[in-house]
Amino acid sequence: MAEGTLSYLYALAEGDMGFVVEILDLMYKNIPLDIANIEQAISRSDFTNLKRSAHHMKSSIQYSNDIDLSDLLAKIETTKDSIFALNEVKSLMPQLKELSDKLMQLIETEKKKIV
Amino acid sequence: MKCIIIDDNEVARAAVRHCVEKTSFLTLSGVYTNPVEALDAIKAEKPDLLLLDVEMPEMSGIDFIKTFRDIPQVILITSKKEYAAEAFDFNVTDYIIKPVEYPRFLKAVTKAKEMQESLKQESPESNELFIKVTNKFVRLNMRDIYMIEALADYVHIYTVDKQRYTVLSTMKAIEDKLPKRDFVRVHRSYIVRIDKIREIDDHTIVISDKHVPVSRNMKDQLMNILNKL
Repeated sequence: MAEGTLSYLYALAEGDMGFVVEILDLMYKNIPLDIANIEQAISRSDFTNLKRSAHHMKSSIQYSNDIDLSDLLAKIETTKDSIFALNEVKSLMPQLKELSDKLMQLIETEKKKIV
Repeated sequence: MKCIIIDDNEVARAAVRHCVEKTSFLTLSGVYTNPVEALDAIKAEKPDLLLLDVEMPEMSGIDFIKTFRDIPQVILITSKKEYAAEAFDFNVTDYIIKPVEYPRFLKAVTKAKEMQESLKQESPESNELFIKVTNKFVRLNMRDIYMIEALADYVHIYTVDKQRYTVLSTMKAIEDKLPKRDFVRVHRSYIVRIDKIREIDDHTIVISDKHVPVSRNMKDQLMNILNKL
């Protein structure tokens, strides 16, 4: 991941690499947890927790500048409380996982560069 | 300025905490994951500023603001612009969109600091003071107060209409509320209204019909501010 992709994070850090690593670690830790929560909410048709988990994940990845992932989460966050909408969210899950995996790999690469 | 961060998201909390640490005039009093957890800290710490997330599972930031009668300044931090209009109905100081960027954060907290300073300057000009007496608030005109007397955890407030009000307060707290140009602390246990002083001798001030002790140091200060011949 180039520094430009994490431009918000680097701008906020102003050279404090400890802070950059802290945020990268938090993102890395939270992404799998948020995805698991989203999957659990889908399996239970729990719309409240589905939206809450998508919102939480969107906040967790806010400094990644990953627009595609953020837009996808925004779509899940605003899903309607209907079986039709739930099926649509289910269909988005492979894309969500793929984008999340890419972000996780990029975080790993970035951390290796720093540490 | 003492501030408290309330946000359910770890990344958001870390980012805002980093901004606070970069800002010389801010002191972080606490970081909380939800408003319910923060409530006791707000009462105990009396922060000047809340850096408050809007969308939290237990209670939204806006619902949290609604529960307060006397709330510190609030800067809302959220990912949705839609909350802005509603937020300003509750007199929040500012509103920051996530992800937080430091220049925008600094602008918001500087606005809060300026508001705090302006309130500090304005409050001594106010002519009124609400005091809590048993289970109600009573409005007093500052011009009617001629003396404050400390008594353990309480103070007695004496007014020109011969009333005495007993209030749970420290001398420091009440001294901060009174206009400095009108009142002076003449003793560890006494504050008097300058224009009600009738006589001063070596160790005593006569004010209304009362004889009040005056400490040596404070008498010197008092003599300096009085208009004497």
